[in-house]
Amino acid sequence: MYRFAVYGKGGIGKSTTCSALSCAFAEMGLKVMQVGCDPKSDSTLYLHGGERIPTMLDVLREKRERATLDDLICTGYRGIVCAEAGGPTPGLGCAGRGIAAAFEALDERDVFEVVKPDLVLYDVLGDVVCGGFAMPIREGYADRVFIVTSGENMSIYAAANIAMAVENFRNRGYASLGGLILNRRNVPDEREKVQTLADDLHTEILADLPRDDHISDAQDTLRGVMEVYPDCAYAQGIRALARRMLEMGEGQ
Amino acid sequence: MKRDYQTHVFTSTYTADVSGVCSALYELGGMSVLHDPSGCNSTYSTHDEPRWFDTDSLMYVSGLDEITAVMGDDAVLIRDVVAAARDLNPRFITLCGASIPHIIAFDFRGVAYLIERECGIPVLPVPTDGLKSYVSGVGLALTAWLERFADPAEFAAAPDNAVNLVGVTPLDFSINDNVRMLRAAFADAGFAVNCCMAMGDSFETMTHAFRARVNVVVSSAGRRAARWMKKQCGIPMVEGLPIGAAQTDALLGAVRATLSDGKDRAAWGEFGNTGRYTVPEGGILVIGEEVFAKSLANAINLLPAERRSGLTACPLWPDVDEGMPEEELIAAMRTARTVIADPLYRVVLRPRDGVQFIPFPHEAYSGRIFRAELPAFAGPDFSVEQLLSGR
Repeated sequence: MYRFAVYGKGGIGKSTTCSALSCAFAEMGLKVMQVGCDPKSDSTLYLHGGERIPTMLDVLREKRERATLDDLICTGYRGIVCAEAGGPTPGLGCAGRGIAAAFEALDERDVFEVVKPDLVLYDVLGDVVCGGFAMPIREGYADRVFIVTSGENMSIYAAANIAMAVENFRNRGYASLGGLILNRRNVPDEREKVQTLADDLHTEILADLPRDDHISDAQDTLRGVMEVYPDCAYAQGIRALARRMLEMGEGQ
Repeated sequence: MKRDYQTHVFTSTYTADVSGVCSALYELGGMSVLHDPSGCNSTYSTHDEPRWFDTDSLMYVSGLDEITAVMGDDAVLIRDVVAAARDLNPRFITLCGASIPHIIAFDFRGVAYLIERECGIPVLPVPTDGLKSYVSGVGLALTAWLERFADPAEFAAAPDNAVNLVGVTPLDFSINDNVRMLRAAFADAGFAVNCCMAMGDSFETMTHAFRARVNVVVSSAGRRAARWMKKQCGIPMVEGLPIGAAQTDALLGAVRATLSDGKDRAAWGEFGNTGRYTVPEGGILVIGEEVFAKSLANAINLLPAERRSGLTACPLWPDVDEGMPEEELIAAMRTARTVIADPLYRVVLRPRDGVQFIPFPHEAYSGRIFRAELPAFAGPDFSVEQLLSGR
């Protein structure tokens, strides 16, 4: 089973990238599971015709231990199994602990033995801010971590922070950094800035995804870009990225 | 009715999972480290561990402080545990934690890996959260220990009459004669007790835990380990406790049947509960740990009707995660004719309820308070009829 985690600054396009990657992997015939790890719970939105699915934490709050695996996951476009961790009421509770609780709930219900996915993709909020948001990097959930970034300074700072967390965990036998995904915002010297970051982190840029209006056009129809514009430049870039990720995941 | 698990006016709570971990592994020569500021440690030593003053064991608390927790500074714990381990050279180290490590998503597995790499001693990560009952902690600890030290391949060479007793801790059996009597009940019936997990057996004996044909789950705390062992090699399990002659016969009969056909069993029949907290009016209500409560209720129901005043017994037990919703518990107790439970439950009943209360202390509920009055209930010699008479 391939196990990938995708991190990046808030609003940088992680969910769009993840959903598109899930579609690309599914096109290859893989059974894909995508787990959104963001209290906004919008990771899999466009795999479900723009409808929000119940978050795991909301289900657990309501049903507690009576919640079944079927209550926690949904199947979306191309048979992609979707789960959204969700989060507490904004301003209250602990979102990081929430992510950990959602993961524990999936574990207790033997999700991987039941669903038997070929590939799991974790879409994780922004910086690694605490132990809970680091869960996908830890304990064998993901083997490879990929960071989405643009050439904007804040995005690059966030990416460096995430890479530091991955490095910290490496001596515990956990996931390693797979590489950077450049999601263009068309700022000046964008490629050069991200290349400098890649060099500093001793990694590489795996994909250079264009800023593409087809993404927002597709979302206006409540669907993902891979479904509505499967031949656009962005979709082709995503497929190439998916192939590279699989090469990196071989033997894990 | 919407259940409110959090408001308890009359009743107490059961011992927490962290104490279950320490209790389960107390006699196996390891060092148990409780990652916590210190409160849970004192509860364990003063209330939950009757062996504390008589038997040495390496029990440590990390003394987690606020800034270490907030900053996620695992190095402090790693340094302290490695230093203590170098001084004391335990057979293994267990790392469990209470609610603060849980809330900050402390990385039990990763830190265990680092400590083990540093000092070369096996480290078991047992990710307790201080929020569940001891049943969870005992189960996690025994399973983690077996996973690390026992060899499933030994099941193939297990003697035909060998059984394990799984889920044995003072939290359910105290330190009176119960454990000896429990072993004797099986030995006298021709079984060989391979392992009693984990009281009275050594580290070495426990490493051969798979040399048994059946796991007898004598408390629900043993269920997780038994299920894990079954998953490894197919060893079947029988749930039940020998309490009095008839129930002992029922349990031994179930074990023999399972030895013969390999099917899992429970040594009790149907009870009259229509729902978890819906008990038949005017019956005998047994409250306690699940296997105990079901076994004692079954032992009562196996008596001739006239020797139990024509009443039938049914069990009620706490949820591992959430205990019991008090309002439903109170309603159930006040509906019964007789309640058998830890003495701390007595306060629920009012004189006008007209309910007979028979105290049956439980270490995991009232700790040391009623320890001297805790009966030796394991085995055929215990008189269920005498218990019912209140004498």
